[in-house]
Amino acid sequence: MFERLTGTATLNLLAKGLEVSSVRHKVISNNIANVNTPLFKRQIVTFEDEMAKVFDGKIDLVGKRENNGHIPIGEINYHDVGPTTIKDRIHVMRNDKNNVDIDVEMSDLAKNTMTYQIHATRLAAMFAGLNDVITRGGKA
Amino acid sequence: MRVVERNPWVDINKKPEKPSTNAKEQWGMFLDKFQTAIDEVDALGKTSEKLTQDAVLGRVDNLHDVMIAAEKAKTAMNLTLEVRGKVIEAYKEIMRMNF
Amino acid sequence: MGMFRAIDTSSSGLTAERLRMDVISNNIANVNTTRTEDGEPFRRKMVIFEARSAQGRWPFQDRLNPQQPGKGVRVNAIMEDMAPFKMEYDPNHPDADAEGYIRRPNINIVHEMVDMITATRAYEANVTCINSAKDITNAALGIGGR
Repeated sequence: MFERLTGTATLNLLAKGLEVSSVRHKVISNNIANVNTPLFKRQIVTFEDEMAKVFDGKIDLVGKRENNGHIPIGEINYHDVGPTTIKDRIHVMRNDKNNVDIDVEMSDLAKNTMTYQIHATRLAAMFAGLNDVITRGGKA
Repeated sequence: MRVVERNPWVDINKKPEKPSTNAKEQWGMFLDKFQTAIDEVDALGKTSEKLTQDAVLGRVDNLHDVMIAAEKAKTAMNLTLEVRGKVIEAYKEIMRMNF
Repeated sequence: MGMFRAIDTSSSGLTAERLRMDVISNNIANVNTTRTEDGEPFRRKMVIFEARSAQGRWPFQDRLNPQQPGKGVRVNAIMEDMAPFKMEYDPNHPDADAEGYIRRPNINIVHEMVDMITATRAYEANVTCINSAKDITNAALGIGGR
């Protein structure tokens, strides 16, 4: 009911963004902790590209509905898109087969912290706006 | 001859609107303007929401664009609420008058 | 692009300067190395930095769209300095040649120290850039009051 009343696609998206930032922080911390571990490969979190595709209504797999009773395939509910942790094999490796670059990890950490702050600030502002309108709209 | 600077925002050829004495017409004109204002507030709100979504999806280049759009939408909404409050107050006051 | 491109650029600078530090440290550590795997004395190594442009590695592509800032720096190669070795007369040294001369690495310690200071300052400057980017973002978040 809340969703239909207030059109909260953006609120849900921001909440997802917070979740992604949180997962990303753990992954980056793990990378930093393993900066000297032999054979360790750094991990990254993907989310934005996948969600952007879903949000624009672009879907990879398109099915044809012959009958109205058929369930459409290839339609992804954007609620189901979440952060995915994958191994990053692209970076240059050192002799111990470890590909963690501490500078890259530290800048990723800075970027992620800023992203988290942006999402949190926007989320708080949107909720405050909603509350404000509800309260003042009720006064007559 | 002295060159006078023209204000580009003012159209000097536009004739000012003739104020009408008909109460119904006046009320209609005010409501039209109010409706336009509300449409603009709605548009600002939609722009702000779209930019916030873009920020989460990583499509935004300048964060300040997002924040400014949000602030514009919030201020416009505040203004609309205040005007609405004043209009209702004025209406109530008129209704209270005894003739 | 994205709003964090400045940080990615600075990060590339950090990585490049750190690599340069590694090469300089290696040069300093090997300032007296007369034997390496290929039988020659140690040759001074140096890094070649290359600017990453916004699109494409070919020069004419930059002119097509000159308004884009670049994407930072990349180490193109680690090359050997082909300057001649220093000759030192020391007939008792095991590596001396027939005339009693021994070839020492073409490394000037003072030169390496200056390079090291330069690399350190460049690294610190890049860190300052990243901190400024953080400050900018925080300031933007403050639009509208918090």
